[in-house]
Amino acid sequence: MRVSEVTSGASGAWAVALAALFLSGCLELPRPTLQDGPIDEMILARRALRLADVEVTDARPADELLPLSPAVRYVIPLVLWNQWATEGNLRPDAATYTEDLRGDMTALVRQAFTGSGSFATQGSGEALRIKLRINHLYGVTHDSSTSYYPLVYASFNKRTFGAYGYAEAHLEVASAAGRVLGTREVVGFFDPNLSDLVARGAGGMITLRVRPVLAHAAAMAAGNLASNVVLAVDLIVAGHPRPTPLAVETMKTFFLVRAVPEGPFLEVAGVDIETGKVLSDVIVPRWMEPYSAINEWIVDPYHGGQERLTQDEYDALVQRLQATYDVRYVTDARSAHFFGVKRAAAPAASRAASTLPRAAEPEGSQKPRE
Amino acid sequence: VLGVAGLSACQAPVGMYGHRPAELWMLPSDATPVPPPRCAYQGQPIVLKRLENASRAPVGAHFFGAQPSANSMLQAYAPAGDLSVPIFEAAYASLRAARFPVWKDYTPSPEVRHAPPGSAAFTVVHGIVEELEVSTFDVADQLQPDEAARAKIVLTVEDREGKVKKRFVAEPKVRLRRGSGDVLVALGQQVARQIAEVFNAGL
Repeated sequence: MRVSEVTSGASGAWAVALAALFLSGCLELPRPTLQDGPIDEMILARRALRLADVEVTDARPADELLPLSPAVRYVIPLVLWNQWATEGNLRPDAATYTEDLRGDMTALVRQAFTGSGSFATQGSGEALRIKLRINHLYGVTHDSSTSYYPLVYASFNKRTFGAYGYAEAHLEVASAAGRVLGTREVVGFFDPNLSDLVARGAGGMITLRVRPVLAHAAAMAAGNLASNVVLAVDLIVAGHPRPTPLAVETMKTFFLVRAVPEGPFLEVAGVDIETGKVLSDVIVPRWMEPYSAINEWIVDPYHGGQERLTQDEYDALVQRLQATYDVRYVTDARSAHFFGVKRAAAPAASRAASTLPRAAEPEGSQKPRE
Repeated sequence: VLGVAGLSACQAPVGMYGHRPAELWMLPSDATPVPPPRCAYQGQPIVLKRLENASRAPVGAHFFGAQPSANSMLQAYAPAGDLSVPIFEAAYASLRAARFPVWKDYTPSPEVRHAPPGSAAFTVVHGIVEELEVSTFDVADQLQPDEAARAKIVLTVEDREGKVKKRFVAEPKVRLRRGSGDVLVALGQQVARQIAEVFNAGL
């Protein structure tokens, strides 16, 4: 979280005038709504499923709906010199960013599903019902300031942390008949350090007009929550067949993936199955939920794209790779680790010995070399 | 007199659960985490589901701790607010080190169950992080040589059909000397210890 420190000195009169300017609303930011929350672009595997109903309930605790202000740590009021300090979390009134949570979130979730292409909105596929119970939603920051007021001179020392947006909801996915297929706790967040908000100048406003920015952060978190609901549902229904299943027997390339330790990124490498040659190697933002430990190479369950394989497809792919490569389920019940080429590999892969790792490592996993 | 009157209005800032940072720092120090007891469990393989996060904010840490520790998991997952991943990984590693027949499953939904390779029967451990607070930064923290964290995690043990066999709450609390370890990893080790005790005692 970014921290900005502001230390300034000004005449008392000038400080009062500045404060009056900002408090008067001259620089009022547009009032955000939850539906301003952007939905992440994603294209998921199309399943033979239909989104029948989205039901949103509001279960936010009462104390989260109220504004929260930094506490006064101390006050030293004297005749010629005043000093006081405040510190604590700052959160706006919930009504600042939504007055119709159910309507706003329902619209956001439907928009996210439509954009993903995951489910049909109409047709004859099996119908699913989505229930979402919003437990938390707010924008919050932490603020620390000390103000000194000698008779005619004002000085401020202020530390403001970035505006963090957060949302959490309980998700239930059920068939039309009411059979629960899966439940999840889903989180949405917004961290200005990870966005261009600060670059666009709103970062400067954080210290001046913090409440609209916090409302904006809450809206961004709501959008992220809607996107993550789609990803969570995709995981729950991943066992459902896809209209165009992966032709494991004839495919020529497989993908390895590892979570990068330096941040929320993935390194994805495409490998020619026959020769073991690395065809591509890119580092991309991790847009989906975590699915492996840091720095461990696994056979990519998304097959280098955004369409998660069914477990049957994945198992079949692993089985085919095991003819040539040391690919095993060692720690994870669903994802197979990659340990290089087998010692007694097929001739074609043996010819590629210069491009592949020497042998399987018992405690680690590794990617073929280019 | 006025100064004293002003000081009487003092309030300490509180975190997302109403705790003062000092309450975290005053936790008993656990400089040498106790590993889980050796596996005495003779039952089916255990599938440990990735922990779910339902905490109020993934971090009180965002306000009392911003600088990620050197731990790479924290760096990778803190930006997305998913600090439960390092706790999950540490719990898994501790159980495996204690020779429990445990497997990871990164699909958190308890209803979505998958047998580990070579096993038809298995037991599922599912957990929800209901509270998580980490204190790793703040002005006062610069004077504070320790890092501290606490969590409340509701754990459920189920059979492969989803029948609940045991439900319990882990409330790990850790305080470590800065630089001597990662508080999230230490939390995970404490969770592992509690899971190990439950399985060793028999379900």
